[in-house]
Amino acid sequence: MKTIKLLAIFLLLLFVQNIYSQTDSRNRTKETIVQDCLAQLPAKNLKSLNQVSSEIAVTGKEGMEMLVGMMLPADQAKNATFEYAIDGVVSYVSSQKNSSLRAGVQQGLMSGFVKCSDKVNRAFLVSEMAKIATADDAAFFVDLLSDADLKNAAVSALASIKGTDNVISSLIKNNTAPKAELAYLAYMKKLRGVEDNLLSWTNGADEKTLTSIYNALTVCGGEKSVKTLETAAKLKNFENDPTGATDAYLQLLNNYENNTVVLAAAKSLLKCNRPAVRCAGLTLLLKKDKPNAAKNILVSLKDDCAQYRNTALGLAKEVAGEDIFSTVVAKRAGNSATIDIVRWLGNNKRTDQLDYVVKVMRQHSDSTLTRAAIEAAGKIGGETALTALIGELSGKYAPDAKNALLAYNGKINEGISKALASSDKNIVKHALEIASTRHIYNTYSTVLGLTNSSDADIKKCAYKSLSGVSATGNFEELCKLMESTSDTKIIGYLQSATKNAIKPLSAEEQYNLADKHIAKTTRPSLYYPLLAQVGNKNAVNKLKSEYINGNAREAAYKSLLQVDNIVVADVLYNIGKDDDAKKDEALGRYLTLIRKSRNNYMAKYLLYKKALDLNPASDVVKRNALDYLADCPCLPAMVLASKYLDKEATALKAATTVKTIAAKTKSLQGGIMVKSILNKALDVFKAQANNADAGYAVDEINGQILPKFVNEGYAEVKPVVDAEKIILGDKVYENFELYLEWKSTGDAVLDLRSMPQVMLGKDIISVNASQATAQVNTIGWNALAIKVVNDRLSVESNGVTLIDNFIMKNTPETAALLNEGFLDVLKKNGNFDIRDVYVKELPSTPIYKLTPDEAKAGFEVLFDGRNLDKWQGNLTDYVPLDGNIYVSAKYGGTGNLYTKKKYSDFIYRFDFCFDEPGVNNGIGIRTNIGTDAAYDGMEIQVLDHDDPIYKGLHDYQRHGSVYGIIVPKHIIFDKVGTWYSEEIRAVGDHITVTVNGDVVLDGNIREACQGHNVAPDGGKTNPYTVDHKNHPGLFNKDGYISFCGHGVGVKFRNVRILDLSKSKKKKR
Amino acid sequence: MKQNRRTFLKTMGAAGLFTIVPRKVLGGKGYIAPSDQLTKGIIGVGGIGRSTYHFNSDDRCRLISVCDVDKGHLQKALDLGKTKLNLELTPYHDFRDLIKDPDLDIVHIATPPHWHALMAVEAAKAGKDIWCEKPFTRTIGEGKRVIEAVQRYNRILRLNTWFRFKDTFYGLGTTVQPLKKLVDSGMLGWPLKVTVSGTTGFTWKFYWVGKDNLEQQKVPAELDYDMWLGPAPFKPYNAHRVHQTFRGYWDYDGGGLTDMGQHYLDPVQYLLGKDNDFPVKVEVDAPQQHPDAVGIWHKITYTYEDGCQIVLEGEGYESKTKTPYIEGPKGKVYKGFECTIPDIMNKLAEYPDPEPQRTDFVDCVKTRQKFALNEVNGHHSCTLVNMAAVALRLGRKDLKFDRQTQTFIGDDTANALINQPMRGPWKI
Repeated sequence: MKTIKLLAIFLLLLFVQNIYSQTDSRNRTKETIVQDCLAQLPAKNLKSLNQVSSEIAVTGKEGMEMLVGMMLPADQAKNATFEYAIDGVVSYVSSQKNSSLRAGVQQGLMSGFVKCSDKVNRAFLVSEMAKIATADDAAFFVDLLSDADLKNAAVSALASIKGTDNVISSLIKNNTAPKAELAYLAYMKKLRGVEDNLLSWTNGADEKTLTSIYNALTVCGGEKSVKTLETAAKLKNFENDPTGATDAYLQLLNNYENNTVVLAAAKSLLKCNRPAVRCAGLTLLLKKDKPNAAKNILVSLKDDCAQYRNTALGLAKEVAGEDIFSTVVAKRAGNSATIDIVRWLGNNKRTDQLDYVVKVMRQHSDSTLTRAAIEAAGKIGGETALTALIGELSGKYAPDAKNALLAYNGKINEGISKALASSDKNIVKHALEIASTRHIYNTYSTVLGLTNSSDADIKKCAYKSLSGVSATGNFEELCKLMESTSDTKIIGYLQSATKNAIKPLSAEEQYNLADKHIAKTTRPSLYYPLLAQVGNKNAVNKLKSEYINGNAREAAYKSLLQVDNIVVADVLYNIGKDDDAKKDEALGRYLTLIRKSRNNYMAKYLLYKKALDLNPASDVVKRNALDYLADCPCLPAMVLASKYLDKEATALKAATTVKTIAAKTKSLQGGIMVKSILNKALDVFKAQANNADAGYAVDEINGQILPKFVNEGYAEVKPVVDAEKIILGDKVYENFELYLEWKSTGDAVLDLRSMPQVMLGKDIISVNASQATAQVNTIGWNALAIKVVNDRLSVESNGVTLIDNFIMKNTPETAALLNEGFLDVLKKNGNFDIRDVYVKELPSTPIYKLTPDEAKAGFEVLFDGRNLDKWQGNLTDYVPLDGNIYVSAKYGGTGNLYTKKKYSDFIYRFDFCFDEPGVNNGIGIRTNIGTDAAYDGMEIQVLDHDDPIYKGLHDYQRHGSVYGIIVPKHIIFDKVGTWYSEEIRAVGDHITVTVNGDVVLDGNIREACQGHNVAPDGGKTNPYTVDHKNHPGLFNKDGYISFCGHGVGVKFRNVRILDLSKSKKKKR
Repeated sequence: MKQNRRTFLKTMGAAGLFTIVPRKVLGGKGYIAPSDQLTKGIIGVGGIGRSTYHFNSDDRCRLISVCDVDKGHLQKALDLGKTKLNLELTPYHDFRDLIKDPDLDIVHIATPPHWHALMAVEAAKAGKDIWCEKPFTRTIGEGKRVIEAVQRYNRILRLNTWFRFKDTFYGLGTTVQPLKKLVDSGMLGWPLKVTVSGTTGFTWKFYWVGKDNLEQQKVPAELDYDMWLGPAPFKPYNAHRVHQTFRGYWDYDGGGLTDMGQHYLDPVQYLLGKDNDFPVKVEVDAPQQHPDAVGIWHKITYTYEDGCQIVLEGEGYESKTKTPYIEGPKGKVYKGFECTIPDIMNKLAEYPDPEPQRTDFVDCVKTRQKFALNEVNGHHSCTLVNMAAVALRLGRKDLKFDRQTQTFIGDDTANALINQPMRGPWKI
């Protein structure tokens, strides 16, 4: 601790030494600017990053130097904020449009670097400087080449900076060390004119240097280098030796212009016994000798090596042009080469060589070759290919031909129709499959005809294929067929056919068709799959009644499982509840449907819980449910998941869910109960060996979730039940959040702070004195979440917000609101059940009390922290919270906040605080409801007037002004978050404004405008007021006092008033 | 001359075979001559390289060697070789030694991404075929170098993500094939917007972020930290930098964006038919990134010249209402292949399947045909990821991309991140 303190003092001294006199538009010193900026890092978005970066960048050399100087030794691991700042600024000025700020930033980094002695920090600074350096800065980085710790960073910098070619060249020419690094730089910069120097360095060079030089020669070398590398590569037998001579040789040849040299070299490489090097040689030969390319390709195709042949084919089109295809095909080739050639024709989709491919296919000379030809024909497409491929459906290549046909590049319908009439049984069979897969509808009657085939195979295939070729018009015929058979297999095929046939119709139309048939059939189960496809309410009800009363219950159940609509969920749940044998399957499907539904997460949670409460036997079902619960960011879902942390089969899933919810849900990040659940999950993750995700989860919990934890958190409350009443927690509550689940067959009332607030009925929930009501689950449980802070009440029922920020009323409404009280439920009639009650106590609101002096003087408190009882108007956006009045934009209110009483002469005192920069508010006095206080009455300005957004602000608009009438003293506000106390004294025409004891305005409004609050000529321009506007209500005798808000970011407290007109009267 | 497996077999003749090949390999049906059996070695056996998916050996391709700079990982891999595969694997510390083995056909690169390009180039130079884990490379420049090397020596390379040709595409609830068919059918119209988001079934794994105040720790005895860092800049050791958490640091990877990004984006590139194209613009909305530690981001948008867009929705979009996965002027398709075009499956059946892809790597190696996802389209989809990383790291709202030169337009600092120099003596 001591060292840090000393360091802080040292840094402070440093600042004091350089008292930076210049200030910005907000009168901040550079030191303040840097500090303000650091407080905002890391920036939350690019906009604020640019804002912060530009502010620091503008401080130039001094600010940057200061920033670099703030870095602590790297091993303390505390530099992140400075790293964000430096990197942010550097990135910002590296952008072309901010380049004018580069020089200052660079100078600051440089002088900061010179003073920095920490190795790691120095390397960081070098890498940052490299981002904005230019060729002019090269010398700085060159010097660092001899610094063992910074050498790599310097090389990187020199390689990245544009225009350093000359500097590097001259270093190389002067034989400067380190040679390996300089050679690397020569390579990165593709330097010309250093070949001789690099070559001279090869003598006696160590392996590392040699490698680097060879690498450089690939781009810097010429004929001499070709020789050197050739010798080196030959010496190593063209092996891949560590110096990389062979590869460098090949690369140089590729880059080299002189064809004679390259061709000779390429030809000799073809004799090498390393296949890859031969391929590289061939590549060179083909690329550099285009006139002979075709000839060389034909020769290559005679080679035994597949790599070699395919190298030639791969380059053929590029080096020998379009003619090469016919040239190659015309030449006889061996079997292996022919396979390569056929594939090559297919890859290039050579329509012009299709005949050849088809010829090869039909020869059936070799299975690999035939398959290659089938594949190529499919890719190429065309009539001939189609016929040939259909022909192949008859033999052993049928599967290959079928795949080729399914992806065939063209129209197949006609060909397949013809194939169905083939005398070859195999062709017909496969054609049937293709017709069905590709939905060739016009083959329907042919396919139907084939169901009468004498061949059992074809018959079966035809039935099976019906599903793909049946259209709506075929439905009745298909039903008839279905009714006429008892073969279950055929029924199955026809069921899919009927389903597909009417699929394009609307659900209702489909249902009507199915229903019509069910009404007259003796075997309704034939149509169950159809009902499953329909899946609407009618269809599900039908299936449900068939399941309960029908004689094909299992079939009905199977179809219920197939329904893809949330309406079936309840049915499946009940089946799962009543039939143990079906429980896992039915609940599994139920859970999937709930997850897919459009319910809100709270409703989903209740439904998941319902299923888990039935305790499915399958771990898979449980794990799925836990997985789905992770999408419900709420307390009860986390608590539910936590119950599965103990069983090995579910522990990891449960832990993941707990962690996910805790991370997502800020309101759960606090308190002992949640912490202990999270710690239990942590233990589960820790026990997972070799599981990266579990490792990250441990990091996330320890590093990101737990550090955010606050003291306030939910605790479970055991309800105490007696005849009329359920007591929730045996204590008095003030501010709190409450969660509970309930169900009722009658009526009950939830008391909050001992005041009846929420009516819990059999089918409806309603909030006292508000219009807010909602339907509730009549059979199942309901989730209720309540928040009470000061006079505000928020109620959420089953995930739906009923009211938010509602001003609570007592019963009767005339009774005063209680500031604290009990939580309980009064049962009126019917049964009432409650479970899972959790309460989070929120901090008590501090209450403002007058000082004895003010009390004695007769001040009246207008806001004591707890409610806005003495106020009227926009009670929605002005919210009492933690003892302050906040201006909020969340709740969509409009207008200003006014006192209930009117005042003429008074002393009005309050504290204000800007939470955000650029705040604008104001105190209206002697004003009326719904008017603009600046002109009807007066507005005593409240404004963060030095924020850059108020550039060009007039002095009569500053904080403390009588807006547009009297100019105040210029207050310099401290940083955001500072409280100020203010007094506005209004006696007749005399207005005095005092901020923190400093009189900032003291004047007479009548004198200020020489009595002309409106233009004497009746015009709009008033030469007598400082803003040249008319202020018709300036001399109002009395009026309300108001807050004239313009948005969020300001808070007020301790508002009180001394009504001077009253005391005058009293005195009289 | 050192005798390798093939020359050995040639000189020994058939009789000698029984002495070196386990008897079971020579069983009747399905017999594969040893000279037809390929061999592979895995570099990096700490994570994916030792997973069930990759740590295997069969008649067509036999695992013979493993390499790791962590002795603990290496030993575990050797043990697993014995217990699971009944094989005595050859261990290596330096990948260059593994690559040197003349008996080796395929090099499987399963290291952190900062090594991928360098190793792939070395493997190509040595005449090996390559199986490389995603993301392909850490920078755009590295990707170009790998393409050059692979093509110089005519190598076969598989980049390992596979959703363009198989498996349900994460939370999307469908494989990519029917989507490709739908896109190709033109029923959705053109241009298309694809949204990769939590609401379309993808998670960006924001817990894969780095730590921004890393303290220096002692390097464990079993780890060769200098070799682990390799081409990456030297930074003091902390356990969070390496092994399973390396993804959180820009020097080695780029968090969920780069590590899951290519899984998610490669199929999109395939769907849109952009295997040979790059976007002309990338836009980023994100909080500030630390220069070393990867952070979270909100939204990344790619725009192609024809107006097609890929939108990645990250932090802050979790609770957004349902977003279509693909949105076109004539229709939308959601998670689970829910489509605004009625009766879509029936309509789609009338169109041809997408062109078949070559998805058998061993077969590709033998027949010298390009694998479905190779150095070229792999480089393109990895460039999506890498260009966003550049914009994020520099806090650029948008960057414009020149598709010909594969560089950013008018931003030298961004371009410096395309060809990042390596720490000596490593180079590419």
